[in-house]
Amino acid sequence: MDAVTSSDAAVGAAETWDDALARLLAYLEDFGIGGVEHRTRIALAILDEARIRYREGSAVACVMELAFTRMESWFGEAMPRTDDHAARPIESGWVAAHLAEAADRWPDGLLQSPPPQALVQALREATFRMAPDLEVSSMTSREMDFGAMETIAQETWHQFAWASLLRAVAIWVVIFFVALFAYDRFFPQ
Amino acid sequence: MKTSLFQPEKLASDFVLFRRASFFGAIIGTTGLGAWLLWRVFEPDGVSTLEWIQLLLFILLFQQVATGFWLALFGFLTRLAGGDRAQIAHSIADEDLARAPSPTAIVVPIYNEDVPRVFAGVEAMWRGLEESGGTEGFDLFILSDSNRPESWIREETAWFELCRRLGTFGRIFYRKRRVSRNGKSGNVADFCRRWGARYRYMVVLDADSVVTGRLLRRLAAMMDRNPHVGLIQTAPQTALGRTPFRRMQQFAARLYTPLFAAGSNYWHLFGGNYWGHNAIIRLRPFIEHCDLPDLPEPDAKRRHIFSHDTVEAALMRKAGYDVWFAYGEEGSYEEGPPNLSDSLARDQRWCMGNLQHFWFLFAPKIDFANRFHIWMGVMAYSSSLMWLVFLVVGTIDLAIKQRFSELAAVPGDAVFRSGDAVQILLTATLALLFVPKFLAMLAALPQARRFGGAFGLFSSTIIETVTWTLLAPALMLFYTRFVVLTLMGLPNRWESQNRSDDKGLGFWQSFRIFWFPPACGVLACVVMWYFARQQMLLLSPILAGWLLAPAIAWWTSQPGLGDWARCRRLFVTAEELPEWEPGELAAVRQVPSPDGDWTRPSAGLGRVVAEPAIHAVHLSLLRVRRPAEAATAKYREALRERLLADGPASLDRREQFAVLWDGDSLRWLHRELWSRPMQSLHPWWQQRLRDLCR
Repeated sequence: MDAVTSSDAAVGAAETWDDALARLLAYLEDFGIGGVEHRTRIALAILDEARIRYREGSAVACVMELAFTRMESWFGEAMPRTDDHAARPIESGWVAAHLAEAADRWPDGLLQSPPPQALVQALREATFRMAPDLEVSSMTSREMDFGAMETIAQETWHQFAWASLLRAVAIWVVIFFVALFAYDRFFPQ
Repeated sequence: MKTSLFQPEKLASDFVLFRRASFFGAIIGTTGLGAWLLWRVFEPDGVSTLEWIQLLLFILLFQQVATGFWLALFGFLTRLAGGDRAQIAHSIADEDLARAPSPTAIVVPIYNEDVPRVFAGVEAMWRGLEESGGTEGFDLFILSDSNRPESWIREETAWFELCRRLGTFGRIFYRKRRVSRNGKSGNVADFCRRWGARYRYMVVLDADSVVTGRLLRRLAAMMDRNPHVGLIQTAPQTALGRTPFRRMQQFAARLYTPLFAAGSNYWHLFGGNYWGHNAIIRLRPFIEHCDLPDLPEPDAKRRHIFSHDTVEAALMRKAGYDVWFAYGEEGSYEEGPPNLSDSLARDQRWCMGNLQHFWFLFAPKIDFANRFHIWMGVMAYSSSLMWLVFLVVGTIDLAIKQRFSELAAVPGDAVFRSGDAVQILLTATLALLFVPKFLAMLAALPQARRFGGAFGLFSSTIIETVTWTLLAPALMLFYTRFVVLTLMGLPNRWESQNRSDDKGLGFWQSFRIFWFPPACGVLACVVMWYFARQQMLLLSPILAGWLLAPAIAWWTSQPGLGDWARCRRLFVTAEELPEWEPGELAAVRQVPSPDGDWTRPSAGLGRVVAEPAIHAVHLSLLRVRRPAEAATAKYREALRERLLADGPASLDRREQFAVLWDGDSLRWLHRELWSRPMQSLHPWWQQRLRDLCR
């Protein structure tokens, strides 16, 4: 880290470049790029380039933009382009690298220029199918004859005003019990 | 060897007719006898209007009780005779299993499920297939209708990890429907439209289903062997329960299902039913004949059929294909609700679905057996309303008779003047209800070790019987509510309280949820004290059930009590004992508890944006869409800015989905998040980045 901060005076606050390096290293690690040495090497190379290009604004933005561009270009070269996925080479590249266990098999291979041919081959083979090819069937709802029920329902069930009916029943039940109670209370045997 | 196999296509019509006549004759005879006895009770003083109502309700209710009794008795007798030969499982031999099955899709429709549990089940089943002869011929589809962003992202990630672990890319697929129409049946129909033609059979599972690899292969072999069979339903056993509620249910299912299922197969044979999951279906006739029609309801919202299974079985039979019940096959499992509240949430859905089936009861060309299945489904819930009306009318009738007898100075109780008929009727009803339980226990005695020993079997049966007897009156009230609200088309939603098996209901929470039965109990006690005091003893089990409902709901939801019971070998089933537990279930039992990181609010969208791995998997599963219109693009842009400035919680669920379906937005967000200085981000993102950079 000393190496990074010592030459930062001309291009911005040391803390900002430290942040940028930390952010970049974390991203590369989360992305699954090789071992610590390989990651650090890539990160420092990107950081050097960023220091040259940096004019103003956020160092983090400058570093990460360079990192994304570099990854996009590396995976773009290594991965076949697919038209039906929303994923770009960088995303499908992550999936392929994960499936091919690239980090274990080629610890220094990812983002290395030029890409090792064996790794490129492995990445191109390590794709997955989202779904089998469509074989469309026509499963459509058909008219159904419900027989007597349909006629009965249309003539009775659907004509009922259920809420009113229930209210009336409830009122009669209350009247019945009140009358029974009153009868019991006021006309004892 | 092959000649001794059962050949379902050669079933003689006389044989079928004899079985059905004997079964339904027994039910009709029993119901007629019960009605005659009640008639004798009413007849001496002339039959009043209230008594006619009671008689009619009694016939309907007694028929249901008699059906249950005869199912169990016929099941018991077939077992006693060494088992039923007319079983679809007897139509295949071992050499049929050696052949690779025809292309079969296993479909698992899911909706906001416990993701680790679902994928543990999928993994266990796939490994089971590998161990039982290979996965050749099988593909598996996880069909998601989840409408929570975090569930969707969690499912994708779990699917990716599973496929990587098992090497099953291209064999196990995950699909998230963009527009979820018509629930589970719509999800399955969508699968059929897209890929149904690629497969000959489809095994439909539930999210909590586990089917052993051996059984999957056997089901496919049964279908291969019998081309006229359209559907084979297995008898799923409930398993993996922890709370007393679930453990009692799984114990009861293990104990009683063999008899009831054997009795059921005895009469319906090829006219079986479909329970919606753990079944294999022949896809071509299913696609051609079983898409659900709309119901002729005036309200458009009520035209969709909620419960598809019974109707699909009826349509399959109508199309000329057989529907069999492979009830004797081991290896089909599901999970049950952990407590009474969750059970009622499920019952509410089933009630709505079953009542809708009434439409099909008199539809032309529906097979008789399917009509009876539909009738049983309708009665399963509407009988509660009938029972309640029967009780109320009966109590009023008794109170009037009591009053009359006091006024007229007629000696003795109004009812018991009718002689022994009431006692006989009461005894007969109790016998019809409880003899099946006794028979099931008797049938299980030779295998008592599978139930934790003879003492465990006996005491568990007694406790289960008492508990469910007390719960039945409370269930009657809730089912009545569901039926009435459904019939009236009123909002009818019972909210599930707690889906977890690891956390029981609180004591006061239980009272808050189940206050209605005790309130009815107190009211009924007061009314009866005034008007029908002498009948209180007769109705005491019902009154006690109402008063105790919250307490029963509480104790049956406590996982600690379930563990205690298990230690004392209560409610034990074979699947819990190491010597009989299938590997698939053992694997699912060891599922880790849900990952805490996924339970955070906004975890789905937050993780897709922040974490390169989850971001990449999600984008790899999104298809390219046509370019958005200007207004849509502007809307998404506003969402993106708001998301970074105000954090994921600032977007509602619909907005989160709008972002999650758009690959360009996600890519932009991912890069912006990682590129912006920490202080320009919302604290939620700052914390997320700090966690990732740690």
